[in-house]
Amino acid sequence: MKTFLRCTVLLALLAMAVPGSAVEIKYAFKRGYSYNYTYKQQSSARATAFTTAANRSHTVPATNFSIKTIDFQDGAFILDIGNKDATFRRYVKANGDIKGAPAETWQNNPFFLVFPDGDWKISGTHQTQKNLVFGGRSIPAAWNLLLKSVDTEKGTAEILFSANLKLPDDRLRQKTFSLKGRLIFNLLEGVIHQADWQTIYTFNFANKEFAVTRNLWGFTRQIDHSLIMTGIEEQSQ
Amino acid sequence: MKRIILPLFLLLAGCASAQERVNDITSAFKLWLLNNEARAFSSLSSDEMLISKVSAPFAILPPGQSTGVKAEERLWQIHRKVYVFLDEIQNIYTIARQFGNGRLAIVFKQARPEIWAALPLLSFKPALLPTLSPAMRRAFHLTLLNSLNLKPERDIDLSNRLNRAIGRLSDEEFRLLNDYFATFAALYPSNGSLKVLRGFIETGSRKPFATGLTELLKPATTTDAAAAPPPDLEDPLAELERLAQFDSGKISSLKPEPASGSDIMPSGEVGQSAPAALEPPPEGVSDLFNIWE
Repeated sequence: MKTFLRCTVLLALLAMAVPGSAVEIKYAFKRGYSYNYTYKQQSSARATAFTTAANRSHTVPATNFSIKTIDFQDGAFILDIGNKDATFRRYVKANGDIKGAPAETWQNNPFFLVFPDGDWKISGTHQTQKNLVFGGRSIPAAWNLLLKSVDTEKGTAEILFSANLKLPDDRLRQKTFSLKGRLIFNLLEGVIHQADWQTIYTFNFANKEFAVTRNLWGFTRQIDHSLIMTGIEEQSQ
Repeated sequence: MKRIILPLFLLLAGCASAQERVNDITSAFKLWLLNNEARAFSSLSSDEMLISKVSAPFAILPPGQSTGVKAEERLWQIHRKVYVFLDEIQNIYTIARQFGNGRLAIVFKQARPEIWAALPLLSFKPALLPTLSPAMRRAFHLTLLNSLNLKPERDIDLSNRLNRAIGRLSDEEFRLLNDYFATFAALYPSNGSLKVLRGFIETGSRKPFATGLTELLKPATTTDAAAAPPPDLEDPLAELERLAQFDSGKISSLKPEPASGSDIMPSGEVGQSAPAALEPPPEGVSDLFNIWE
């Protein structure tokens, strides 16, 4: 009897512990609701040529936009994204993938990160790969995601993400690109609460003639992006 | 006929092209820099387009976010100043090469084409000569300079013009240009045009050059010639010799030394002899040969 009780308690504890160790990350936009966000961007750049260097930095004024949920059809949310100046309609799946963007040129559509389907364990990683067709070439790209932690009290999940993009280069044109970010996902509302990410691009240009190689120019660009939810409101009729 | 004209035309074009190549000291470097710029532009642009495909991670972000600032604009700005500078150097160098030795001025001084049009007046209306000749002479000289693309105010002192061009570049910009020169020289050691260009900038900014151009831009008038004592100024060979000596630094001034045997006059035609050597006209009679003023 004692053993049965102990097993029951243990199973109960395990059952309570499971929701904290694995979660399902998926969008759950509510029909008729508007999700308001503020987006900020700060960029800096540096160009060097020998001992000459030029630095520039710029902060883009915060822009507000909203996501208006129209419907959920064929496995995708129908969203109107934008503000009073411009609005774009997108069909976004629950895992973050895009199904359609009727107002945009499809070829120019970005490669978005996609959350894993089903439960995602803490410290679990997820990768999405895609070949970006550009200029007749196929450029491999990938999104890497890591579920870092889940805060059951606040109902949020912290996800780290990065992008792999191999820019076409050669011996004379050395390039690197990195994108790293952090995302706080609101599990209760099924939306992104906050996201910060940084892109860094470097490009070193050299000249070579026979055995002589000379570095000529170096370019670095860094952009810090910040996205935060400012409110959820029910759209008036 | 066509068989003759075509080869002749090609030959002339070839000669002109060869002459341009001889005087061209900036094109190789300029093209190298422009070509590198184009390659960098192309890479930056294509990378930007590629990066824009992943720099917005979420499908809920509105499209068309800014791509950030571009510091390279400052670099291209300096390059534009460098191109203007190189064009100026090329122009100065071409003028110095073509007219700096003073030969053309001496040829014109010998031939005096500006008086040909006035010569018939000697027979028909000699009284008009003093009024017409200066105007004709000025018009001829102005047309000549225009056709040669020369401007007296701008080109009278090429060394000064070169220094002004250098002064338009800041120290940082000039240092960058020198770094580019060094890179180009390392990449293309057999290219001689850059050596000439660097040497021209370096030495031309320190000491006067193409001093023979002064005579072409501001030729001595009859009045000046009358005031000038040395008669051997009219000897083109002697003048050329002095110009060459001055350019090579052997003499410090273009003013001729006083001739020891001043009674030995250089032989010359009537048209070449200095008007100052003529007997002055009687009072009340205008000097028919004074066509300079």
